[in-house]
Amino acid sequence: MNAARPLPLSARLVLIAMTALVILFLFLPLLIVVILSFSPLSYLSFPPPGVSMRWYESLPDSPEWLHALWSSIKVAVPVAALSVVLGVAAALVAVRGRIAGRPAFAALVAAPMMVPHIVLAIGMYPTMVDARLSGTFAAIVLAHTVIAMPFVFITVRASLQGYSPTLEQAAMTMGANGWVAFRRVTLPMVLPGVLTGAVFAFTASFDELMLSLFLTTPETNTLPRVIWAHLAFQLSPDIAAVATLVLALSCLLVAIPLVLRRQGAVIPGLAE
Amino acid sequence: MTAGVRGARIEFAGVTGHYGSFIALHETNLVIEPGEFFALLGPSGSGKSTLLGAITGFNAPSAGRVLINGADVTGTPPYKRNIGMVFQNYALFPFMTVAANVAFPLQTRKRPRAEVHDRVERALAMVRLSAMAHRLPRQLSGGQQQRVALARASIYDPPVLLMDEPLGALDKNLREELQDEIRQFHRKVGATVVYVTHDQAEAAALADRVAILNAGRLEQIGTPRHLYEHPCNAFVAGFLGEANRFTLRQAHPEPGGTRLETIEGPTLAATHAAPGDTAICIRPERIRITATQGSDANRLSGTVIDAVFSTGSIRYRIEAGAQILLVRTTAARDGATFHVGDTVHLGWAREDTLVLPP
Repeated sequence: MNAARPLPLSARLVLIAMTALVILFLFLPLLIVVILSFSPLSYLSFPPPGVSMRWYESLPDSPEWLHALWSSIKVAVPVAALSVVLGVAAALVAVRGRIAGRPAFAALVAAPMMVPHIVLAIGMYPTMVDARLSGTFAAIVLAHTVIAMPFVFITVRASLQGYSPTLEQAAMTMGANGWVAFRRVTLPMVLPGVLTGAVFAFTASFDELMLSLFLTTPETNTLPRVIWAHLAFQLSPDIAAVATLVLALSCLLVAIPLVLRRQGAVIPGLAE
Repeated sequence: MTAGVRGARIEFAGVTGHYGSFIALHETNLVIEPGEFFALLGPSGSGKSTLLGAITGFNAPSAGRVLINGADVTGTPPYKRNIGMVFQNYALFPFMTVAANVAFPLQTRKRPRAEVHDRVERALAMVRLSAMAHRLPRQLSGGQQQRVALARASIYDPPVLLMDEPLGALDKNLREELQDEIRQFHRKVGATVVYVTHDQAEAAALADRVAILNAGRLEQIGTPRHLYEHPCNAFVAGFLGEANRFTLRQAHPEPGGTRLETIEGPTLAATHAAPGDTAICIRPERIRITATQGSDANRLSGTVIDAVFSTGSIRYRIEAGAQILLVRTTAARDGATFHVGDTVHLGWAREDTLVLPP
């Protein structure tokens, strides 16, 4: 290995250029949306001729956006909660369970991440109609949980794999039954993983469009669903303003686990 | 922690462990007496863990019963058995302070807060870790973590204390230091200790009695000294301590005992040989090494090919014919010492030739 030798200048320049291109490729569309949201025009045109806050200022006056935001939160919060319960349980089985075919089980639980949402949507729509749930919040919460739960499963499974099962066994020799051992020992250990998974699950639901297209009604329209509708019919810069806000919220949420990790795995109050 | 907790009597009645078609433990009957320091010794895969699992309840035996103080606990879940356990890597909860770790078993037993506080303080004082109460386990040394594990496993005065290779993760000097600590600890708490190890020196140094396991069978039980001096077979003789080995070809009665013809060549003398015996063992420290031939019942001569001084004793390797023999002498001031290349005479008494089944 000659990895210690510094790269020649030309190679380093190529590397820097490639990295810059990739970053540009990833973030340019987002940047354009952000710039568009400050446009003074009443139609989407790039580059905008000036800077204005008019689309942000008008947002609170629009009941449609507020209603959509509220719907999205009403969906994403229960989705995150449900995903945590199911994802943690599935991770426990996949890592600690005494069942045959644990790898197959793990693959199955994580599968909805890989399956195209359109395929899930096609399966779910008639199912929800049959179950008389079509158009309800329950339908969209259940559907989003299917795609959000694997995020919790994967992060919690990774946390669990880092800890020896003897810790739980030790708790049991000291008089803790299965539930107490889980609550006092397992859960505190995997809590960073649970929180990370919960954030991902929340954002997965908050950003989801495809299932929402099939399963929501005007009453339960989520934010991405309304953005989609506006894109199709109006194409005004207020979409860019909303999209920028959604983007900011997502960034904020994803930053939470990073900050938690930086502070170490020890959560104050649990070290008592 | 009150001294003189009554240790429990542990009885294995026909305990058997199968994993599919693999037999981890053949039917085993064993009684561990109250307050005893009992070691389960054997190579990995010998069935130690199956016996231990039967006491903890984590691995129920395929057949048979486990009785603690006469009560059948075979179907009792681990958390209701009131046993203490020290794990190989201590299994301290990494996110809890030392004090919180030690308090855990009292909290699961819902003891009042004041009592928990008092007993944790006393337990930490007993293992000399009061100053470390508010540290996290990872901020302690290996030996200190080990002592936390001891305090935690015994704070609720369990009548049975299990130790699964508790010194396995430590270096040699620390192991020996902690052996003393564990022995004293046992005397103070009075619980019945079941100590699992694959290290024969550790088992011999610690235990009142040792059970030697091999390939899922209990080979022999006894005090370390009894096992060393009267091994029941060649495996036990070889596993506990060092031994010079010969293979018996034929035994002939002779005045005063038995004459042994060996496959290796030399003819040896023993007190007796039973039918079926095939192995001959001589402990290295029972062999006398001299410059001139002695009058022992067993006599060999050879050349020193290696002489190693190690704390207090000298270990020779002697080439005698096609055999290499190990001889250990004390490094006494007036003792003769030999050097590589010296021709020497070896001798030992009839009684020191152990003739054993395979």
